[in-house]
Amino acid sequence: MSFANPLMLIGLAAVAIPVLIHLFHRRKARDVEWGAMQFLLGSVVSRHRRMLLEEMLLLVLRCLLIAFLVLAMALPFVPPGSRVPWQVLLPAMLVGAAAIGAATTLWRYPRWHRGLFAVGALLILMAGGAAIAERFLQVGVWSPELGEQDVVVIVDGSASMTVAVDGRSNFDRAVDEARAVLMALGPQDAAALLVAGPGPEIRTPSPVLRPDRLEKTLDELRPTGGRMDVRRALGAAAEIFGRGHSLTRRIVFITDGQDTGWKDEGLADWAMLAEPFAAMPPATRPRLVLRLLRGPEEFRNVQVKGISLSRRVVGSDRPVKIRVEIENTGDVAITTPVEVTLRIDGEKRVLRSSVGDLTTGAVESVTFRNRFERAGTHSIEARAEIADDLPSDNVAARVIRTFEQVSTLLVDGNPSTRPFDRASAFLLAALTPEPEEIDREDLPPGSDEVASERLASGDLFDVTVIDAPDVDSVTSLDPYDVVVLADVPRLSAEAAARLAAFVNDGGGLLVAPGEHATPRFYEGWRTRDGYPVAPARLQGRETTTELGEVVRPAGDTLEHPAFRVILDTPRSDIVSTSVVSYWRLAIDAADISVRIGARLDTDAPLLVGRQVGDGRVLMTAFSLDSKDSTIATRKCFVPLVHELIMSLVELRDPGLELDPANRVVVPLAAAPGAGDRLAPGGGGLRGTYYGSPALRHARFVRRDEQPVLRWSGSPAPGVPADGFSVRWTGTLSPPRPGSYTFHLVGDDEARLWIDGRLVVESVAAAAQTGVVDLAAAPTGGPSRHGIRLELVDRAGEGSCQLSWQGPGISLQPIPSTVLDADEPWRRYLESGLDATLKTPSGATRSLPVDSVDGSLSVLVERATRSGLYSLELPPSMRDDFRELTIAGAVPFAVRGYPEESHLSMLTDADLDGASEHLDLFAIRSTADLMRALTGRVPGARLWRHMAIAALLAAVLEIALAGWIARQRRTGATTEVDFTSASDASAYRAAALEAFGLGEGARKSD
Amino acid sequence: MDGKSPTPEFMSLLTPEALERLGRLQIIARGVVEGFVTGRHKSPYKGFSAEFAEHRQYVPGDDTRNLDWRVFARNDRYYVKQYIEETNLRATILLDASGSMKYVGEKAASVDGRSLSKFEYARQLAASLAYLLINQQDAVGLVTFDSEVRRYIPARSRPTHLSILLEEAWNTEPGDETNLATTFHDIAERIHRRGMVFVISDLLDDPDELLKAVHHFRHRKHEVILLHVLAEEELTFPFSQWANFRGLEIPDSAISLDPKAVQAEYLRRVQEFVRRIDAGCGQMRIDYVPMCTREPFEVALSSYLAARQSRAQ
Repeated sequence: MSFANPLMLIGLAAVAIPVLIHLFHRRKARDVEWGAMQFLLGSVVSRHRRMLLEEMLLLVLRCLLIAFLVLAMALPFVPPGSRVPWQVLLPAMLVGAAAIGAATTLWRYPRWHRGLFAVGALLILMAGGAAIAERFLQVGVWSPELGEQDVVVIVDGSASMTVAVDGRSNFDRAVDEARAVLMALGPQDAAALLVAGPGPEIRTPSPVLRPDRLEKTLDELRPTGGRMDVRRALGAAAEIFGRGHSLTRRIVFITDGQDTGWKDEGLADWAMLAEPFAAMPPATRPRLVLRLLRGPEEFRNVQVKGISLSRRVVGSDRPVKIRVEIENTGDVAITTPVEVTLRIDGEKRVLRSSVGDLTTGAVESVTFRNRFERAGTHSIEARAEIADDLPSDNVAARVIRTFEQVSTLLVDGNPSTRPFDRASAFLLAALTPEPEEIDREDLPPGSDEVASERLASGDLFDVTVIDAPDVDSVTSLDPYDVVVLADVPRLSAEAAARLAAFVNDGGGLLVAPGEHATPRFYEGWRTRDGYPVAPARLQGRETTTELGEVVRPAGDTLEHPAFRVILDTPRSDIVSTSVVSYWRLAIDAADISVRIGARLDTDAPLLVGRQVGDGRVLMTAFSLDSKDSTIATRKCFVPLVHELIMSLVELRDPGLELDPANRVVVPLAAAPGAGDRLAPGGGGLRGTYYGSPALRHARFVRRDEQPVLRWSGSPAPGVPADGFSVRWTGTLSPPRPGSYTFHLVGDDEARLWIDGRLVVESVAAAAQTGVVDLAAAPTGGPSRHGIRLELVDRAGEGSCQLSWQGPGISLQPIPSTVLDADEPWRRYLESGLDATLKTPSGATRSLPVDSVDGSLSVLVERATRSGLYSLELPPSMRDDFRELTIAGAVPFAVRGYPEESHLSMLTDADLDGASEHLDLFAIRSTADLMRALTGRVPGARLWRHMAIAALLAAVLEIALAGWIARQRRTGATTEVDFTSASDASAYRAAALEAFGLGEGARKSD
Repeated sequence: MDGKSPTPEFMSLLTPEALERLGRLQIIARGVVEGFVTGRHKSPYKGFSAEFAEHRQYVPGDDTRNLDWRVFARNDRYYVKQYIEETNLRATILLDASGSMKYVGEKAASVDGRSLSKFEYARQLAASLAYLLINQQDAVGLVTFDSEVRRYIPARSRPTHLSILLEEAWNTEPGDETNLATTFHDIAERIHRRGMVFVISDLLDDPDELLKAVHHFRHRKHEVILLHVLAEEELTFPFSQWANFRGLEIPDSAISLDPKAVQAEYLRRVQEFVRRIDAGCGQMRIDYVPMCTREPFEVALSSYLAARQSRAQ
């Protein structure tokens, strides 16, 4: 307990008043020279106990009276979370006062009275000290007067708040509490409301006067779902306070006390939580009133903890295992089997399985097997079919991108006529398995992972081999996902810069330096921004000269994720690789972007990786051929190469799995220029050249002024002369709106799409026309229209010619000035298209297609609930986003927080920890909350009790004093009969007469 | 001063006013003593008087005037003539000079505007008694005592004896503890001749022992008159404020207390004490005369004498 008015405690010194009066009386006692001591002594001896008792009672009562009065005036109260219980403190003070009173009456016994005095004084001092200490412990928590204040009410909107307690959800309760808080505030107070979810949902951007007016807003509050980000909520509150006027600031945080959001992986960084207020002057930092609602007595819950795929890069060529983890996060065992359904691409494919008994805390997993039939975006939604307390976590979703092919460019630094002398020979072999192995797709379940990798690798990798001297001819690296430099001595400056830009824009690069590598080149290789590309310097080449000296990879250092697959198998033979010669890779220890993925047993690095811009670079210590080591002959070689390549690719994820937030950006296309490695220029179209007639195996990308072509040989480097295809894309801006006629001649086949609509198709060089109406842009400016032209050459000469005719334009080839290859998405922005969002709950809303940081995106507000969302694109856009969409809609998943499903609550230790940094105190009842807010002190009635006790003590004192006096008076009525036995009054009278001392005379005496 | 003073200082015990009052008292007193004597046996004591009683062998130190020369002539032996004393009464006044007698009550009778202490009161009383008795040719002795006998002046009836008694009484200062019982026994042993014993004391001692000692006097056939002098305060204990009671007899005894708290008990004890003495005296046929210092001692004395006279008749 503490005192609102602790200075009044000094008044306890007034306990000395009755003591001093008593002592003063004694000191002032008249000296009486007394003869009849024998009676006095006798009386005192026989009355001693009683006298002492009476005196003691009286003095104790008087001291208590004063103590009660002082305590009443000091306004005692019991703050919640009090460390010093009033049951100890108050009695200590009163006993102290009583002891002092009693000590006074024992003045005659020095040992007693000194001891009692000491005890009494000590008790009072200690109790006073404890009360003041308590005040400091809860410094400034309860101040009786507040004046006007700014209050930010934060309602926890996380998923755990939706759990029903006694038939009502805690969120509803929290809203009620918030309502009560708003009603309790005075009209001069200002309040603001926000719902804390993954991001703060601010309902009132600045404190509003007359808080009761916010009541309507309360009815609109809905739980956000997901996890509560406390720090951001407090940050939002700090911003709101910044717009308020009062410096008395208070945050009322109504939560169920789940520690998720307060703590990160069980560790709380309270100092960081206090950061939003660090900029405020200490006196104006808000007080955080944490209202902790009661959690459910019993929690029955199953959650889909996660969906994991057996591979990070999924090709459409092979099946993938999908593992769904089901966890019982409640405190009740689930005895009935839980059915788990897996929906791939919406309702397209539904797989079912079930898990059996789930004891508390148990995690069971269900494995599904699926082969994604096409490359592109796929949604996976797993659902546990069970009715439990927290239904929102019964669903988890993922959106993955499957690759049709990973385009890999192998640059061979050691061109040789003998196939296996080439540096890239084994890599090529590993990436393009034998045809008969490809067909064996359907492996029996449980078969060896390595074997399945080998057997089912299919044609995931689209490999182009090029000799190092020819690298300059590859002007665009855009079609490739990964470039491998196999023992390349050096690159020309131009090629090196192009490759650096490729990596910087998100491409993958694997460097395997062998005997030909030039250390100076790799050391000096920089990106345009000056960052080194190679993760390590080639410091020197080690060669095992002596016979029998073997260097091998150190098995326990193989940390790079690429080794995970091959290490899982007991038959892995990676450590049996013997390395004959290798480069000592020197790493700049200060460069934190460099990681060592594996080491040799000489402790020299084997594999070093680095992040460069958006891309990744891996470097091995030796070449991946038969010259430097025996690795190429190991069984693990093929999966290892696959994994290494895939680990370089995985960064090129479309980013459709998002963390819950109030605003999420769903990227549809990257910003122009970022993924677009066209040579600089003006108009024209972007031409992608494929090495097959089916528009697969992209080989080359360039800007073409006009799609007017005629080839007899190879149209571009790496593209065969026969059996290729080209796709031109870009935008067309006609000078004026109107009806245009397009003339197309294609050999062997050509097709033209405008705004996603097939306009004209020409087969076998037959001239065809198509008419399309190009409407004006709604903004009034030049309209832009998507244009796509595809040409397929199967054999012989390939040709294509596109002309147009329109208002004021005679038949002529389309000038490059009206074509734009660089900003293919601008037309979507200019035409103001809307996408339709479908949330996991089934609600739909329309959202504009927008540009965020230059990339085409859709901004989704309040994507806080985890699950699968879909964004249905307008028909005119679908053609360009075929790969991204499923049935015309872009799916995206908002991640859930598995820990949100665990009702682990904030402990007292947590609150203590928080109190060190935040002016925080926890409250567990509505009444306390009201008091904390209105400044009414809890336990304030105590002073009244004290006052009543004082009154009682006064009455008792008066009664006791009166009773004692009466007792004495009635006792004292006995008069001593001090006359002789015979009746001598007559004689006395006579004698008096005789002496002239009659009655009158005596009186005058 | 002393030399110039026509009357000795001790005569202040019998101031002219007091003497005047005593003169009147004498009238009463004479009757009393006469009454007291008449109806009783003849005086067994021998002394100077006209009536011859017997002869006794001379011992050195006897007054040579009393030698019976005729017997000497006849027997050639020295005999001393002894006469029957004329006096009827030999009275010894036992004056308590113990410390407790120093107590001065505020309500005590005053002389010259000064309140009398119990001792002063007792001294006056003793002086008055002595004066009265000497004046009627009775022999009066004086014993002052506290824890022991301080001074013993045997009884004489010569008028000059009065001044000796007065001087002694005057010069006595109360001091030490009381030890009435042993002192009384001692005195009882010393007073050979039967007579009256006036005890003037506050009797603050163990009443049983005291009564036993007084009984010793009775045993020796003395007539005992117990003049019990107590102050008004001692009888009513009127104190209301905290007081520090300091024992007059025992120097270091002091009790600091709220008098109200003990008043009842104190009074009960005093009452019991007085009753006990009273009852004891009644049994031993001792005149018990309680005297409160509030009342002028003459009044007290005379009322006693008057009462005694009436009883004798």
